[in-house]
Amino acid sequence: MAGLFSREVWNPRERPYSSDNNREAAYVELALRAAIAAFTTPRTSAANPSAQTPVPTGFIGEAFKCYAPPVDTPYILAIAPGIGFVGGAADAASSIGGVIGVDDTDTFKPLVLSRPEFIQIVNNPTTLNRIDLIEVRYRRELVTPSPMQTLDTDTGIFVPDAVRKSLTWDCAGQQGTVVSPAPSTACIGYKVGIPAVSPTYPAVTPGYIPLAWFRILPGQPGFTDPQQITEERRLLAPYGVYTIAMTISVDSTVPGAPGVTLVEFGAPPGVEVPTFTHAEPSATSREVTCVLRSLPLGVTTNANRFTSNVQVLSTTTTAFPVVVGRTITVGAVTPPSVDAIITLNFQALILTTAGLSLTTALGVFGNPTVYRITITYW
Amino acid sequence: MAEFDRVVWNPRERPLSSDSNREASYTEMTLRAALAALTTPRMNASSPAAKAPTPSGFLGDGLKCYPPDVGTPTILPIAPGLGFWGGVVDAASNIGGVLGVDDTDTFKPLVLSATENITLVPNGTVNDRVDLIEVRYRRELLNPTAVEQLDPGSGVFLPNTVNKTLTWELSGQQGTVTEPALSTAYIGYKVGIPSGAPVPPTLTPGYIPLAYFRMFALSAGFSNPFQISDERRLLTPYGMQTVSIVVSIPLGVGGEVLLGFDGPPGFEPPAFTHTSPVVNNTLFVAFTLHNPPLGVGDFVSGNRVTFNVEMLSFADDQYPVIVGRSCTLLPLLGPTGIGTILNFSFNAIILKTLVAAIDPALLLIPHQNPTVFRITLNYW
Repeated sequence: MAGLFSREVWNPRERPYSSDNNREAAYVELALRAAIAAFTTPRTSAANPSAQTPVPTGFIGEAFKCYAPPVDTPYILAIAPGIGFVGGAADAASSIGGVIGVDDTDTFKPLVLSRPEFIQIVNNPTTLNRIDLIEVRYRRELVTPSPMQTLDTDTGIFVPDAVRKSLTWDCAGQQGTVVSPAPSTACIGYKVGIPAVSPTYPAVTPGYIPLAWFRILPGQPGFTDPQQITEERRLLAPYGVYTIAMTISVDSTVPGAPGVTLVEFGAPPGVEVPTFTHAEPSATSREVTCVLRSLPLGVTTNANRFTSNVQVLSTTTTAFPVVVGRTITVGAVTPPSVDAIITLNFQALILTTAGLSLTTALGVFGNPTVYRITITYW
Repeated sequence: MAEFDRVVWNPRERPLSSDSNREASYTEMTLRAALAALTTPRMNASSPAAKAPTPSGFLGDGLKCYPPDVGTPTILPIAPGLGFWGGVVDAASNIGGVLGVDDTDTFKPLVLSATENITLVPNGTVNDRVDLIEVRYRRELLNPTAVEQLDPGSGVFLPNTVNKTLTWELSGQQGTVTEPALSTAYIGYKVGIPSGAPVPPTLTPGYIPLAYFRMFALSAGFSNPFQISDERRLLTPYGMQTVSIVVSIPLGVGGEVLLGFDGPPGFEPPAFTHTSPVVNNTLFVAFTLHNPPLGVGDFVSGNRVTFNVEMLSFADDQYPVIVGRSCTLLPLLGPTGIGTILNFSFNAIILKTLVAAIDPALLLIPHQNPTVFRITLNYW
């Protein structure tokens, strides 16, 4: 196949071939996929400006996000519809199904789910914890058998035939359940783990990528806590970098988490809402902690891949808040969660001007205090 | 049909026009769905789901209604480009009776290939008037062409004329009506009713607004660029975007200089004011973004903006401290304009260290003249 954005050309009076049509469709799809891949591929590393190779796997927005079951149906896990891509797949196929020109040479393979997929969770009647896995592979299959007419080359007559008319990547309805260590075979695989005192994660089936792991507690048919699930997808964003922003209001008279109100939260679809708590280390300083759960950052998360800015709005012309970020950490997971958490901690104080100097006393916070927080990660 | 599906032509299969049409439909659906997914924001602060239905939006300054040039105040230009109307429940199959010419995706293209100039209707009355530019998508078979078409009875290809193009092009498809009449052209200019307290014309069902603008009493056109309100929503990755500004602020009155402004196409540059730092050597700065393309009713709060301001220090012992004071979204419906403005303000002081030891009476010193600020806004 020629380079990206190549087109098949039909010349005047040229005998039409099915392969020309198939190849044209393959060209168009190749260009679209390569453009999306190039636009979303991050740099190799902090020290290396080249594009990461192989192109990493990722998902657009909430596509294929495994949502914790709602309280009234705790044993039904929903997978959101949308588009993702398996990156770096060394699987160049030509003449798929023996049909000339039905090619798939790009390494960025579509993961398509055209409608929500519901997974029935296998109950855990044992007295031990269990960790289960949802994994996925791309489909790429000829479907839609249709009655058509095919040329009989001996007689020169078109005769009735049945052929498959579509190449699809749609994973809707293509689910199956196995028990670890058996490998998944369906496009969307639900792999049930082995109950244990310290349960281990089921191994990802070769050729699959993980969507989520979740913990099923002893004697439970499903979820009891939405934090039992961990997101393993990586979000596709321009060059792998994206920003979340939020406005919070902190009431110093209400201790702990109840004193913090999330006023606004801007983030890509698929990012869970953060939780907060606050404290007062001294009479004139404030400490706020923000916890982000299950960020769609891929399987590996590193706290050094975050930057943050925090701003406090002042209510007077003589008060100057000073904010200092203290830590960004990737927390250890503790049962019943299987979740990686990102913790952002910062403190603030207020300087007050009087004449041409600062007063010796630190200023007093307004109540509530409004913070605006921006986090960029990659 | 799902995204990335392809039509397959099997060897020696009789070629059908419907297969070719369907292949084009599949490809376009995939492209549109990918664009929609990449630009759809989350549902809201508390739900990580993608917003549904997919909201409408525009790429850069696509279909932006610009205030008329000073030299031609009666001609309002609409910028060429692309937009998409989201969440449209209008799945069409076999458009025009042609098999396979389908449009099943809910993200409909709004395409304008050349600048569209709207001639404003003068306001000869003694009252102000608010007018509207609105748009709907086209999706129409055209380009009649002489071809040969098979006569199944005789098996012979016979001359015929058929439409060869499905277009979404809006260029030249404009029309003007007066409120309360309904627009019928794809680009509708709806003239409002003059009044002591004029109200915007009603949006025609099936249309989305591009801009409202105020026509002052006894005027033929624009006299103020702030007469217009951009009602478009910009398409950005997951609905989030960043704007960066560098501005030079002198110590005297006025004279602010915008040294750099990096926002997506379609954003009007900010306007600055400041107060001379006579009180406690504190510099008070305010700036305004007029008519940010944030969508009608979609952006309702200054709480959907975070901003950071940085001032470069010019000496080893001097430490600027900056505090944001406000970030508000205001309607601008008064006598001088229509639309919205985002107002920001911040204060800055400079601390000077006096000795190696900590001195509680840190001296506040004057700002450099001019002082350069670097500002970053994130909003969604």
